[in-house]
Amino acid sequence: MRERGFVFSLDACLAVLVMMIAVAGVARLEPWGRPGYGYLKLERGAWDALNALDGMGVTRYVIDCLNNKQTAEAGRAARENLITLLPPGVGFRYTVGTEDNLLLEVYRDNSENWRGRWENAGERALALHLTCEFIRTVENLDVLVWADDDQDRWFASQVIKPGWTYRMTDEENTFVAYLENRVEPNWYPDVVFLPDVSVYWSDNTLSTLNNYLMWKIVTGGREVGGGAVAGGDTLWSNRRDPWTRLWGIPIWLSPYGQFLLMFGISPNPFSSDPGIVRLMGSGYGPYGERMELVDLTHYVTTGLPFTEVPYQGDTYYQYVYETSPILRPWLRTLGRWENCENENITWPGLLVREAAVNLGLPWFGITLRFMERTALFNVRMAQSSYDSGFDGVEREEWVTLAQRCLEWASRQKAELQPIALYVWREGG
Amino acid sequence: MSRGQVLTLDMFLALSLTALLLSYSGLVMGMVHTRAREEVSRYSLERVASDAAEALVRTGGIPENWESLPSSLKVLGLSGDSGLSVKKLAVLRDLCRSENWDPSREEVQAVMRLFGGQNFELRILTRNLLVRKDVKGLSYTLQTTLWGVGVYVRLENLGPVVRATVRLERGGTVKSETEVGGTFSMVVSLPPLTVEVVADGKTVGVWYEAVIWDIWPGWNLGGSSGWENSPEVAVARRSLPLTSGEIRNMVENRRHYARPDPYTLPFLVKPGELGLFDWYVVLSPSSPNKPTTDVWVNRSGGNPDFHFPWDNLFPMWYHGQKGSQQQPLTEEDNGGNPNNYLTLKVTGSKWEYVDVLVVAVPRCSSPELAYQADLLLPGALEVRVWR
Repeated sequence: MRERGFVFSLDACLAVLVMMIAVAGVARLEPWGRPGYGYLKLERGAWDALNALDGMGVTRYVIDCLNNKQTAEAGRAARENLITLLPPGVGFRYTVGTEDNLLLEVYRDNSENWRGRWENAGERALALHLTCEFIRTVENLDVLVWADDDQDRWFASQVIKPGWTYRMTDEENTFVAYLENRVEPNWYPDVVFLPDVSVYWSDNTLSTLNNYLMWKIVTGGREVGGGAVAGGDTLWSNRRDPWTRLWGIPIWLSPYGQFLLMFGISPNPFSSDPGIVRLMGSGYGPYGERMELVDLTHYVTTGLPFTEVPYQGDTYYQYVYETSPILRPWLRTLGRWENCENENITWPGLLVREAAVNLGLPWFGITLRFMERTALFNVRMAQSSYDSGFDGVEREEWVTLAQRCLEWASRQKAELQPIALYVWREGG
Repeated sequence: MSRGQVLTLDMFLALSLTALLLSYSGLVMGMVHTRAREEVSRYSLERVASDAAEALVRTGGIPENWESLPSSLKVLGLSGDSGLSVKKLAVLRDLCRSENWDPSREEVQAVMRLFGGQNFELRILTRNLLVRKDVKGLSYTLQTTLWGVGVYVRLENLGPVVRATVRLERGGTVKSETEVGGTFSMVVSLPPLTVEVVADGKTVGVWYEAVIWDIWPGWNLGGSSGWENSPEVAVARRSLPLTSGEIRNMVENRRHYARPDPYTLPFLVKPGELGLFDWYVVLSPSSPNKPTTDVWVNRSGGNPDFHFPWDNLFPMWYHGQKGSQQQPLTEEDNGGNPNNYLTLKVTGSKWEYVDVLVVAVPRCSSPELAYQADLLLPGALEVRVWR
């Protein structure tokens, strides 16, 4: 047999194959040096950026802006600080809220195909923070309204927004039943609206309302209770004689005393009208008959197109409240009246009280609430708005303020919101 | 016939291939070995830089309060209540100063252990946005001074493209660059300041970055750490909020009421701190040259040591030396109570006021830091190590 053609034999092919494998192996040496190291840098960079945002107060600022519906400003602050903190060439997506309900979404430059860029990036990382005390704008509020005259009913109908549901009553038993969720099992109020209660409620009604506004420990993930917005005669018409109470139960332990405290008013046992003075008419009413909004940084007052609200103080009462020193840290005066009789006194026109304690222990399924949010107007805004004295100008303004108060005081508010930062190397 | 096959061409080819394969295998093994060694070396260097940066920003060191007694230092850490601790930075900076750097000292060895030797440099930087504008209708000029560097920025929309000009000037040295395009990134640097312009087609952003502190073994003003001469350098950078100094005491809203009453502002300089910090009086007045303010240091009469509106930043102790005031500062122990004081006298209308701050910044820092001691700045720590 002739041995020619050896070069093309199986042995030679095998030899060439071995060499090619060796050559290919050398060519592929480059990438196996540092697997995952760039990812580590990127991940640390993302965490640093989120921590630095917290440390510099930017996260708090972003949340405040979102609470005040200043989404553009929140986005600007987040974007500019993240660009400053993250290295050039690193793309990012910063989000506040869950993916199905994003409250803020910010990119380095543009949002086009961010998911594609994120998924195709050679190196990418995700850092996640959880923040709390965030107000979600409420689209589907359930409002329980006490309305005992035509003006109240008309005003409430103006305040209820599309998408909100409401139950309106002027009957105590029904009111109590709604608060205790005994009427419609699937309907429970997020907030109670008391524009001008002209009825002397029983202690039972007051106690039930206090329970609704007071602390709750709930297991099983279902929350009960909520906040309240009150105005007009509500606190006045329910006042009790403090002296009788002094011999029985101290007033601050009575249902009425607790009811006053709910709105941040001091139940003074040494005054014949505990914590409240009622005034009307020329010389007693407010200067210029306008309430001035003095704190425009609150959810209720921010971004409004007006800073003064007219009121027909010569025709309708208003109430001077003595605020509780104990609750003062939780109280904010959003609107004030100038008193023409005594320039040194300014009357609170719109008082809001933050929730005094608001603890969540989600890992045990427990929610602890103590004194829900309340808002208190010191005027009969329903009556004044119904009256045509200001050609409808005041009506819209009081309605807007009441709507904002209901949103703010509703139980659909504080939620843990995740803040996520996705980072990736562009072009990777 | 098969005799003499050993010398045949076939055999020769087979041997050649085998030899080639063997030699190539050897070559490959060598390359693998070399590259692996290089990679491991590079990786370990980057790891040293990265882990050192992690330890510095995440921990306060061991013991936690080592800055009070530097000789007790076991493991270096710089973390403080909010970001980096200015006092720890000042002590480390002092430890690394050329006069103090002595590798035989235990605290110095603790520092070296963290960085794997003496080839390291720490840089503390602040980075911030100067301006960010939409490209549409862009015509913008900025002229200012940052960290002692004159900055001129001009941004213009030229239709389809943007033109950006940056000019930096300091002590007769000028750095200037212009870039034209739709998307670009331009960096102009004149130590300690770097200005970066980034155009992304929709917006143009201008950032500045300034080196606040630069620390390396045996550092001195104007010197260099020497990393430029090394073939292998690793850098790790961590973002964090920064405070540039410590406010030792302050008084707000000093005004002239019925008469210009003198006001005493006490403050404490702890033992050893005169060598660690530069000490300043910073005035923050309500208007550019009002109210008139006289300041005495550790005395309350005679000609004032400092006077506003001549200046609003007064060094009382700088580079380890007394300032221009008559009485020096003291660091003598006063049982933990203030051992120095300022006397202030404010003259003007009752509507004008001045805030007065006593500020300590790490020794030999830029005086500009004293103005910003009450702010949280966006910053970064950069760790550089090399072989």
